[in-house]
Amino acid sequence: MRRNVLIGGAFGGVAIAVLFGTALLVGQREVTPEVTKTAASGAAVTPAVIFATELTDIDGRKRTLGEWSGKLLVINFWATWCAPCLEEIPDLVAAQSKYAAKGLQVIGIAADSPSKVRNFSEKLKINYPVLVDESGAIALSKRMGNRLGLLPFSLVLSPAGDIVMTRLGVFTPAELDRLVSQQAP
Amino acid sequence: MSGTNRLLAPTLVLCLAAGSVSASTSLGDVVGKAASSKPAIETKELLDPAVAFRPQVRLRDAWTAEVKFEVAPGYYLYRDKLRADGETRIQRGAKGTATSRPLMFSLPDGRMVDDPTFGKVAIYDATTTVAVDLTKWPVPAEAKSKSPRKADSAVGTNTRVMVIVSQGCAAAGVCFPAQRHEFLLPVTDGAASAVWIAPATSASLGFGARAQAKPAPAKK
Repeated sequence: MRRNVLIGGAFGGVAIAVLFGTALLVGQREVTPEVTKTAASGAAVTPAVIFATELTDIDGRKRTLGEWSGKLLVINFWATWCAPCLEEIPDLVAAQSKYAAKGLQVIGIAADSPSKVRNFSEKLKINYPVLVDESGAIALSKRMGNRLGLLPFSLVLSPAGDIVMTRLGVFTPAELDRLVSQQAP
Repeated sequence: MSGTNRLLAPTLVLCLAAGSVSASTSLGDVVGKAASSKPAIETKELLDPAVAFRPQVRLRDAWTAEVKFEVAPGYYLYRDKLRADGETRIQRGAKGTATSRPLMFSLPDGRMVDDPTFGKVAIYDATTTVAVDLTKWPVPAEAKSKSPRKADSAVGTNTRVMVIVSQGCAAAGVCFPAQRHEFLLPVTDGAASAVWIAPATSASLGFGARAQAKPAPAKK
């Protein structure tokens, strides 16, 4: 009986130490709570799986998300039938232009027909790669944490290759500024 | 359809009046545009589309069906994205055939809003009922022999399936992919069924609202 109490106590002690140590580590990361969402609360996939994802771009070329590892990657799911998505894109275009030198890379993934996507890409003067998967993009976004398959939905990876956050709904310019200043200072 | 026509004129007048009064109504007012002060949208606050739009169907009589959307507050459907198709599925022994045809329906005007991207669009942001014309969609002979009963849960027996496609958004600033709902219509034998039925199946389409009816084979 005493041995069990001792073992239980030892486990409890180790657990508390682990929790305390984790809290210290987390505290040291210095990111604001509203921006940081760990993979556990957001996405269901690992960075490795994300970087291995293959998609076709609007020019018909096969691309792999891993091509952009090392960047502050904002993977933005959108469609031409999604009004908030189309309103968000000019802000993403502006951020891409403003922060390219700091390593920001927006990647658009469109759940839409290639011809419509090409049309809108030209109209919106999109200055970042646009990948298309008409029938599979929503499902892909769900695997990345978009539970209800809604748009717009974004997933952000740090230059180090960690999932920083997922975002349902538009990114505002202020949020993009904050994201860059925290992840790519 | 004369009932619709009788309603159309005053409805038009009302809409015009409403339009002129609320000329500055933008989708932003409806949507509550995601301003920088607004927190990120939490998935757990959002309704599943089947709950947000709660589509149901009933037969008003042998020639007309009604599709009702009980749109939850804070959600809306695009009027011009609604589609209705009638699918007739016949099973003869091991062989099954399905034919599909678009159905005529009369859409209520909805509410006009000013979308920053799409311009003036009509939306449904409250309970909306759409009348669907069934006169050109005959009940298959194989189904007529059955007495009126609850629709089969297994789709594929002799039955008529109404396929409704709708597409909408949440005012919080996110949009659902088009939703495809299949309703198994009860066999009426001339008697109308006043019961609202839920979809037998509902699925997100991977892409924007398009009629998902299978192309009809040559036979009617």
